[in-house]
Amino acid sequence: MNDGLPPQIPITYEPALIQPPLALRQSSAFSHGDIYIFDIAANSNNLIVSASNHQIKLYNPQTLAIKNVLQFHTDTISQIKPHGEHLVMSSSKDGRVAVWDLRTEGAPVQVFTAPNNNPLLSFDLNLSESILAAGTELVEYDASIHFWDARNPTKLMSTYAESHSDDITNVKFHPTNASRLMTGSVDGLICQFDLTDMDEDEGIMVVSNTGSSINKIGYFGPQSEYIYCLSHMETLSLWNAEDADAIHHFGDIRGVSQSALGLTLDYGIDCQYETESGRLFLLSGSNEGNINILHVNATSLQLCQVLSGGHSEIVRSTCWDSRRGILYSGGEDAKLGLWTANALQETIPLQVASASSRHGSPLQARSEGKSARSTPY
Amino acid sequence: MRILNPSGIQPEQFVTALIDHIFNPPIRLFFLLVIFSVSFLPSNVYSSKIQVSAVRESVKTVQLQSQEKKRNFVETVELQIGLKNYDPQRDKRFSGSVRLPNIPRPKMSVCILGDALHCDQAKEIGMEYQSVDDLKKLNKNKKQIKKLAKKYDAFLASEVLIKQIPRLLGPGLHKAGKFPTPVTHADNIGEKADEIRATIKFQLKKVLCLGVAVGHVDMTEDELLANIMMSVNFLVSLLKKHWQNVKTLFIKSSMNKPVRLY
Repeated sequence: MNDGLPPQIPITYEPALIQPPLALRQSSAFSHGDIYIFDIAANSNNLIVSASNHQIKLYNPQTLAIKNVLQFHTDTISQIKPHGEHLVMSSSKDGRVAVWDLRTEGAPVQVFTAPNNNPLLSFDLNLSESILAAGTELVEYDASIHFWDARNPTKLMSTYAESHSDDITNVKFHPTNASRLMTGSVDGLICQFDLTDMDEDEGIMVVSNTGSSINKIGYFGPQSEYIYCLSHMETLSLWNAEDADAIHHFGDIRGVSQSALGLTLDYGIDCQYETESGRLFLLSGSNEGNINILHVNATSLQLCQVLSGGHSEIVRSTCWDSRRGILYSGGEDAKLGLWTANALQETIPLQVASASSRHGSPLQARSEGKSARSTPY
Repeated sequence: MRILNPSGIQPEQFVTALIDHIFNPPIRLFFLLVIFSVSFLPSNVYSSKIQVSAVRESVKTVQLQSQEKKRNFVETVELQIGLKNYDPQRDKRFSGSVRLPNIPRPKMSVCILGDALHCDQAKEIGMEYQSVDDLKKLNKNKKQIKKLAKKYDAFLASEVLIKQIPRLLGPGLHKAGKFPTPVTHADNIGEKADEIRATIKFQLKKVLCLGVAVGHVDMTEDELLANIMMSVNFLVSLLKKHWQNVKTLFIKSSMNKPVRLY
């Protein structure tokens, strides 16, 4: 909800949280023409990228050289996810979840099809790899969560159609509990289920009413005891997974934009939890293509770094391995970016200049990069 | 605010001075808030492409239309936005809710699922309420729960009770889009109910236009104006290219022709 007042989110600059800072190492175009990159995921040997032309492409994660194209879906790809080192799963508005084995060429090795091919927006596989759950758009009166036996695509185990009144945008299993699932929807509800008995009425355990259309949710915390929620109105809130209580409503995160920090925040991309440090990070962006990494404290935000020069349009997805100091980004300019902590100095201006020649100012991007690097500890 | 500024004084001072001349105090306060919030963002992006004076004229037209032929119900005033350079298939989703300064749906019925304190407070202010015992009596009966969901437009629930709702009612209120909004003992339940009445939802589906009910014809000109400006500015702020994504803007009462704002 918006009160017309600028939200007062306390923000400070904390570059020490990302040391050494990230710099653009490599950039690559998904394809020529007017295409958006939607989503990026990675395993050790592949960078997996989905785009608005219904294709998935595999890249070499070090060089961003293209390795393979996975062509199957006939409508918007809503989510991609690697599973182990050899499998990739993808869901689409064509009503299908495809499982790809990267060791074999050609068609997916498994396909789960929603009844009536209802558009699928999100999916997840549980910890024990026994259940595949996927959420649909609202079709007539139903927004459904379908459950399949993950080993048998023809076996639809159950469908929950009572819990949401609008498009289900997020389906996420608990990281450590195979029978615990949460779903998030445009109706503003986060529903958590115990799937032991596969009964919707009895299995619905905790419901949080966030009051705003849900863009991204995820478990975080040492025991995955908390939930973050980013809304389509660019609000951020944190919740207790156990009892549905709100921990904190940050309000409209766009309000932290300040020229003094060189920070323009137009939208949230997603949050990411770092297990080792116990920190939650918010990845966000500007309409001009900057990526902002912020640390999320209990009631305040800390700007760690602004990554500029890699994109000229909205950044739709990031994939960040903070331990190894590697971040991949993909956006509506069809560009893929590889950012690393130990980029060679001389390659940076070159990359920045080529990336920003169409749009924006290379000078600004370069000077920002420099000042971030020269900031003392 | 796109206003010519020949004098070269600070734009915000200038706008404030101008507003002093034009508006009465409550509206002035609202615009100061808008300017305050706008000043946090790049001004070229947020600057309004519609002039307040022109919107005021359109509001007058809509009110006149409905006065000319009185209906036996209070006509709703809807804001209709047509978008361009936007592809619902691939651009970021455009949906959410916004709380308006003036209540567009005063008749919306709100029931509180309350603990003892909230039920007592509801009794005092004449608000509909249901206690835990009332909910237990429904015995998880689907028909009964559906009936409860149908009876009211929205629900509030005491913090302690809202946690029990999945257990007491299952997902029964969800499908109707009526899962309650939590209230604490620190909240004023009457004000909370009014917040719900003042909050409008918007969502772009597969077509490039959307309508939101921003008020009704019995509101004052200033109230309607404030709601329209707030809705327009908030919705436009969520679009990637802001005003470059707006093709048309209309306001319209239930039974009359649309009046163009942009």
